[in-house]
Amino acid sequence: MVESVTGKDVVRRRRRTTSTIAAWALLGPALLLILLLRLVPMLMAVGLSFTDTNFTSTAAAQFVGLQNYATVLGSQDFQSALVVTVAIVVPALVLEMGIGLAVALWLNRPTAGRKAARAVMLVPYLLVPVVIGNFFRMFFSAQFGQLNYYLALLGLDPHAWLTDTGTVRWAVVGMEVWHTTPFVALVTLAGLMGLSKDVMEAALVDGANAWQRFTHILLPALLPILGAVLVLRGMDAIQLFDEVYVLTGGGPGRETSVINLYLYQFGFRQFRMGETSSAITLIMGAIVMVALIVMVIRRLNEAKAVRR
Amino acid sequence: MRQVLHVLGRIGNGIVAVLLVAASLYPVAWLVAISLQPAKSAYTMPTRWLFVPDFSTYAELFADPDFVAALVNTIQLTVFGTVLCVLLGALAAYSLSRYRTRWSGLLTGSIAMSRVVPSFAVVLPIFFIYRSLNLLDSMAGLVLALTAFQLPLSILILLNVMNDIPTSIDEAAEIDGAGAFATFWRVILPISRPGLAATAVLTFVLIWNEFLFVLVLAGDRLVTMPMLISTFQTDKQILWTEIAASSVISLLPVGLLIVLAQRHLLAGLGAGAVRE
Repeated sequence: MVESVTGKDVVRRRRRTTSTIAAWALLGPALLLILLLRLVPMLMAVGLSFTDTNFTSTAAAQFVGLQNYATVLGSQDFQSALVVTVAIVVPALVLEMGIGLAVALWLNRPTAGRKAARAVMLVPYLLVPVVIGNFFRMFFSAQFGQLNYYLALLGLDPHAWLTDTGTVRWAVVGMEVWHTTPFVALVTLAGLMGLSKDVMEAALVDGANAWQRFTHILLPALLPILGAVLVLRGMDAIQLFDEVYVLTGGGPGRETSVINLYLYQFGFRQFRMGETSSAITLIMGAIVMVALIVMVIRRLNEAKAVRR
Repeated sequence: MRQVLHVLGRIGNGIVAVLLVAASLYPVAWLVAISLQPAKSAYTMPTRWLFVPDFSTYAELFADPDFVAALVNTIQLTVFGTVLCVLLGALAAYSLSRYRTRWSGLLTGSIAMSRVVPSFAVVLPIFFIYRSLNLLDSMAGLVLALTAFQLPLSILILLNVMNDIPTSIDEAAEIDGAGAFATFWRVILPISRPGLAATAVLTFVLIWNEFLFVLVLAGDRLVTMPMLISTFQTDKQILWTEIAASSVISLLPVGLLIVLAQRHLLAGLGAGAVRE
């Protein structure tokens, strides 16, 4: 059907070609940067993880198979970094989600101060992390620390928070909770303010008390938001670095050496690129797996919601 | 009885409000107080809140070429990085929003996924690349690395904004004879201004605060404020007034944005959190 190729079709086809060019031209610069400085490095880490690349030696890198993975998985430093990260991230996430939700609920009332409260809460979240680490180093200091001073006012004994292995992780948790609870509170508050008023009013008419309203109506409606916040915070929390680098430097011993600090000290400082790359690859693999699981769960929930 | 409860409730609310404000602002207040007092005040308890301000630490800092260089570097890095992120992010978001190719879905998905890749998986290999390209300790290298790292977030925020703009507006512009770029520059960008502002302020703060990238990719000759602040603390001594004063200076732009652009910051945080 040659006749059907009219002038109009040609124009349309030409427009489609130019628009494809335009699409890639507009996308090009951003894509190139992301490709070169995000994707390539990531793939490079995977590639290097199978070699014995080492900055200090000039010999060409050799393929060593899975040897680096065996070394890293067997290394006490790597294992301890994983344990430390979990021991700090899990309590921090639990506390900041709990306190953040409470603050959001408290602010979700018609009060004059809500706008001011939101501005005030932006301060801890947006403060330079290095400054936060410095402040808390002084705050927790055994000799000159403000915490010990205020505790003394309450009649409590001073404590060497940052050098005692029993308390140093909790000091990091405390710092993190101070730093990131506002994020949870602010995003949850935005979600609360976006919920429809009808549901709440219906609950009031039915004579539900405050606790019932919270568990039966607010919480289920908030769950998607809380889930998203938890995922984002979790992804952020496992990348903890700046504040801890300044607060403890990973010490005492390896007590607060979280994954990023381990990678920095063991990999970067000691120039063992091959082994570090395999550690990075292992961690990336774990994160991507968690991300995929979260995505599947969300898809399933969406599908369930649609069916309902 | 009811009235008593009401009064108690108000007192309770007041106490919570005071606690919230005090807990959020205490560190900043302490740093400001320490930066304006003689060096030994950091070690004196209780902290003195009423004093005659002494600006000598600030004067010393601004007379120190290392400090001035760090401040200038940080401003340069942040401004270049923010402009690039917003500009390239807007172009990419416009493309993904308006030109649906068979790759669009996959590209958007990959850009969203790339946010879960931890910074360390990116920054160590970049160190390797930069070392062979002689880009370590260079402003250009740092700007490009940080831009690439923050771009996915910018693209996603702006993509949400542009998806909300009806395509009928583009079509109207095209009927008036505007090409793709003119439509983008003259029509879509002005409408997206709130989204651009949210992206800009959030990116600004994130790059301004950045430490890890600078520590690994620069830090010898090219020093930024967070980097400098971390070096005031050595094994031998901690220069508290210097730390406090330079911290206060590095907090100023962030504080200014919180006061002047609170709405955009909140919008940026929200858009970054709630995807789709």
